[in-house]
Amino acid sequence: MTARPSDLPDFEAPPVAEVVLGVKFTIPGGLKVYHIGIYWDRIKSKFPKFQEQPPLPAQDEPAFSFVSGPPPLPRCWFLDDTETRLIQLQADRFIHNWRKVTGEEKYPRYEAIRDEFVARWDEFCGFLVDQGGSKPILNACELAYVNHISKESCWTEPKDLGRLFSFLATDMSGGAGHTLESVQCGLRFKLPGGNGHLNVSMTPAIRKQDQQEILRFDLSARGAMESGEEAQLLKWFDGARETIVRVFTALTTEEAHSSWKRKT
Amino acid sequence: MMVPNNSITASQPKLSPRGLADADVQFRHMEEPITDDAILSAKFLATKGNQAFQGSPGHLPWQRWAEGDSTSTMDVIPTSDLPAWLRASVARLLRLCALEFNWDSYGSPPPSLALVKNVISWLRFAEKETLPEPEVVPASAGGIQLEWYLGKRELEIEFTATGQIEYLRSDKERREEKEDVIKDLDDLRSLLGWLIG
Repeated sequence: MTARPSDLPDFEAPPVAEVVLGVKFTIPGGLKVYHIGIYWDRIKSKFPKFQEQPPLPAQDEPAFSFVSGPPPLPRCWFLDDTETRLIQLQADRFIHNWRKVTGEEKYPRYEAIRDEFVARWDEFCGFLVDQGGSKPILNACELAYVNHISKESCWTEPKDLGRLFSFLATDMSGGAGHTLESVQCGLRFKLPGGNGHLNVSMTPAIRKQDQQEILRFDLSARGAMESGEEAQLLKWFDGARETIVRVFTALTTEEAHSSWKRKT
Repeated sequence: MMVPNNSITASQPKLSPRGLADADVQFRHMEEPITDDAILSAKFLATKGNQAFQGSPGHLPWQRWAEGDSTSTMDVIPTSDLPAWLRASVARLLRLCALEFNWDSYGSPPPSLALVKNVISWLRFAEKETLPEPEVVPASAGGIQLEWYLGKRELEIEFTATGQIEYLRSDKERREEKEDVIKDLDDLRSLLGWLIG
């Protein structure tokens, strides 16, 4: 398993609800409908559940485009029995998610999730070769952490959010007679070494699972892949993860760290 | 509820010029190429409302990025730009999704999350800040019904799982009752305006 950098901030109970590792690729000859069924048959013992979703749009490209030829493939979800792990596959994307379903699941940590992604990705590439094709050409990659910050984590009202986020003022009352109704914001950082960008967003939401009010705090890194080598891909993921953890730590307060049981 | 299914004509309801402008903005960031006919279809808005909701005006580019183009699979409803009465209704709407199949003993499924998002999307775009919270009840065949009782006026709006929006309004003082189909946002705004007007 990949080793964790010793100086990276670590939390015993981080608010992470989902971790996403994904790649965007081109397959010479394209991914066909029949590939989907054969691929599922190969992984069905581990991912016995299936759902269809609308395909994700191309990244950083206009959504409107002229389409000719056959309709686009859907985005297929292959889920394990617990539905905490799923693979999302569409014509140009392969994505591996770990997520909380009941809310009681223990976060397995990035290193374990990354290793699972690598195993699933290698399996998919091997499948394509077995089908007489060639390995996908990597174009871009993404690592995202979705945090659900519940009201136990030092906030109950929007005006408390300065206790949670270091980039917000501690006094957000807006002065006498004003009531702060809602806070949402977005930040964008450059990844070190020109490796892409990290988008950070914070928005209040209500979770379907338990209908609880939460703050959804997303940190999502995306970058282009030049060489398409797997070693470069894994290096990118590790670098993006380190940036995400450091930015998460910098943007949140010590009081919040305490509620998430910061260890280092 | 009150409008029988066969009262809905086969022709696609048309959005008004204002409604079309709204729809155009809503669909700008969707992934599928949109035809004029599709944009003009209220049913399209209903069935694609999940995406429209995610890429809707008022959502800043970063937020759209985080939601509409998200690889996250967690089901949450962003609430930051909802009016207070609608924000207070979201949890009750979501609870409907947890109903068991055949909850009404007539084989009805629970309302889908996509329908809940559609309902929120429509009500959000109606841009009424001062409504009271509605009663939220499941309707047969996977629909959702909202009910307001305000003085002598009552309004029921049903969002069906097939993309129709139907209403029944009654004014007890004037002893008037009317039911029809809501074709566009202007219809909805007008009805909600009647309720509080």
